[in-house]
Amino acid sequence: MRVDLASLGTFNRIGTAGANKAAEALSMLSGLETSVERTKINFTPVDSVEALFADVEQAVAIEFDGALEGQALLVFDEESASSVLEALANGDSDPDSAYLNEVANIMTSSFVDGWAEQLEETIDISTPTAVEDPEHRVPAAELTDFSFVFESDVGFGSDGHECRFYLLPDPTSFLEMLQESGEESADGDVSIRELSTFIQLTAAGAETVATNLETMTGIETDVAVTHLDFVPITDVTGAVDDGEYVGTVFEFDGTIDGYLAVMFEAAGASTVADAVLPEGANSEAMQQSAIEELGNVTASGFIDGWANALDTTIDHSVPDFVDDMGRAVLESIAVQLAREQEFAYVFDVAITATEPMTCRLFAFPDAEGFRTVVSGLDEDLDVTSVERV
Amino acid sequence: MAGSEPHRIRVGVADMAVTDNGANLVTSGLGSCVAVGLHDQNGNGGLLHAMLPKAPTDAVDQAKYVDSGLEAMKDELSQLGANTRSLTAKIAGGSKMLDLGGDDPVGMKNVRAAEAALERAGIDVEGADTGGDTGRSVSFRPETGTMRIEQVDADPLKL
Repeated sequence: MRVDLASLGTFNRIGTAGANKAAEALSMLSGLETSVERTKINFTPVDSVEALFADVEQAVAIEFDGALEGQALLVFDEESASSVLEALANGDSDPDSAYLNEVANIMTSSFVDGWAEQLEETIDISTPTAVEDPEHRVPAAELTDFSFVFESDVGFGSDGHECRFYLLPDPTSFLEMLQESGEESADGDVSIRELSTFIQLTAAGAETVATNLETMTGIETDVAVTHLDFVPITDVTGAVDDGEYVGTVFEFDGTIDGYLAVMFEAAGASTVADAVLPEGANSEAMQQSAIEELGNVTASGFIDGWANALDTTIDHSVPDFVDDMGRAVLESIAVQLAREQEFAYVFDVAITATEPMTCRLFAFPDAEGFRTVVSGLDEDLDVTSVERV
Repeated sequence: MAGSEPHRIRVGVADMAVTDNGANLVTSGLGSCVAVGLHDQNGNGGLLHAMLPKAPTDAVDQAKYVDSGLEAMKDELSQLGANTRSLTAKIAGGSKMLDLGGDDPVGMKNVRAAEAALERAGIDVEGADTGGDTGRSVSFRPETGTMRIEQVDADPLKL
C-alpha cells in the first residue's frame, strides 16, 4: 500500500478542527478561555505506543466507527482536572468530581463530531467511559509495525493548564482513508512498508544512542519513547517544556539534510558531564566539552544508521553548544525549516536513566529528503543488521 | 481587582492576541522569532510572535510573518476600538542562538522587517531588546506598554 505523505497535512488540520470543537465545548461549559495548543500525528512503533500513556492514570475513552474506526482518549492531569472542577463549581470549595466525567463526555463527543464534520461523513460513537488502563487500549496494527496516534493539546485558563486528546484510529481503515485522500501518483508517495522500516531503523538508532551514552557515562540508560511526529512547523516548540536545556545542535547534509538536537534537562546535564569527566575536572569549559563530545557520539550513532542503511554518506557539522530555553532552541531550528515547509517530520527520542537525567534527541529531516530516503529504503531491510558507531 | 494578578493570555508561535481588558500577553521560548507589542494610550494593545520576515502572496497564516502579522494586529486593534494613530511599539527577539543561516540569519531579518513595517505604519518603537545569542520569554502589558523580558542566567529586563 502506498500513501501520499502530503495528505497527512489535511488530516492534521482535521485533527485541529476536532480539537477546536472540544475546546469550544469546554469554554461553553466552564467559562474558561481555551485554545488548541497543537495537533500532531505520531507514527509510533507498536511496541512503544504503551509508553505514550505511561504517566496517564485516568482517561475517558470513546469508541467510534463509521467513516473512521478506532477510539479517542481524553486525559487530564490532577491539577488541570481540579482547575476545571473549580470553574464548574463556581467557587464551591468541594466540587463534585463526577462533573469531570460529564465535561469529558461532552468534550470527547465534540472532538469526534469535529472530525465527522471535516470528513463530511458519519461517525458513530459509543457512550464515553472512564478507563484506568489507557496504555492497554492500543489498536492492533495489521499492515504495519507502527500505529498512527493523533495528539491534540487543549490549553485552558490562565495558569497553563491543559488536557490532551489522543485519537487512535484503526490503522488498517485509516491507511485506506489516507490512500483515498491522496493524489494518484503524487511525488510524495511512499510505501507503508518502507515508512515502517524507516521508523524501525530510527528506533534501533535510538537504542544505539542510549547504549553509547551508557558506555560513556557508566549510567544505566533506557529509551523511554521513540516516535516520529508529523507536526505543523509552528508547533515544533511544544515538544519540550518551558525549562532550560543544555546540549548540542548539528546540521546534517547528504542524501538527507536537516538538523539534530541532543538536549539534556539542565539539572541532569551536570550529572552526565561529571560522569564523563575525570574527578575534579569540573570547570565550565570542561563540562561544555563533555556535553559536546556526548553530542558528537550521539549524532554519529544516529545519523550513521540512516547512512549505512541507505549505503550513502550523511555528514554532520561540528556541535553547536546550547545552554538556554529548550523551546527557543527548537524554535530556531523550526524557523530554518519554515522557509521551505509548512509541516515538519520530527523524530522524538527520550532517553531516561537510573540517575536523574533525561536526554531528548530530536531529528528534523527536511521534508523532501525524508520522502526520498524513505522511498530508497529496502522495505525488507533487517534493521538490526545495520552497522552503527 | 486591586492587588490581584492581571489575567494572562498566552501567545504561541506564529500567533497574536489583542486585548482591552488589562490582560498580560505572554509568549515564551523566543529564539530567532520576533515579538512585537503594540499599545495605545487607552490601554488597548496586542502582541505578535512572528517566525519569518515577509509573507508570500498566498500566505494563509498571517501571524507567521512579521509584515502581514503587524498589519493584521493593527486591524484587530482598530476593530477593538484602539486609537491606531497613537500606537507605539516594543520589540524583542531575533537572536542567533545557533550557527545557522550564514552571515544573514533569519533573526536579524525578522527584526529589520519589524522595524521597517512599523516605520511604514508610522508607529514609533519605544524600546527594543533584539539580537544576541540567547532565548527570551516576553510578557507585555498593554495597559502600561511595559514589556518584561526574561532570559536564562540574566536579570529580567523591563522596556
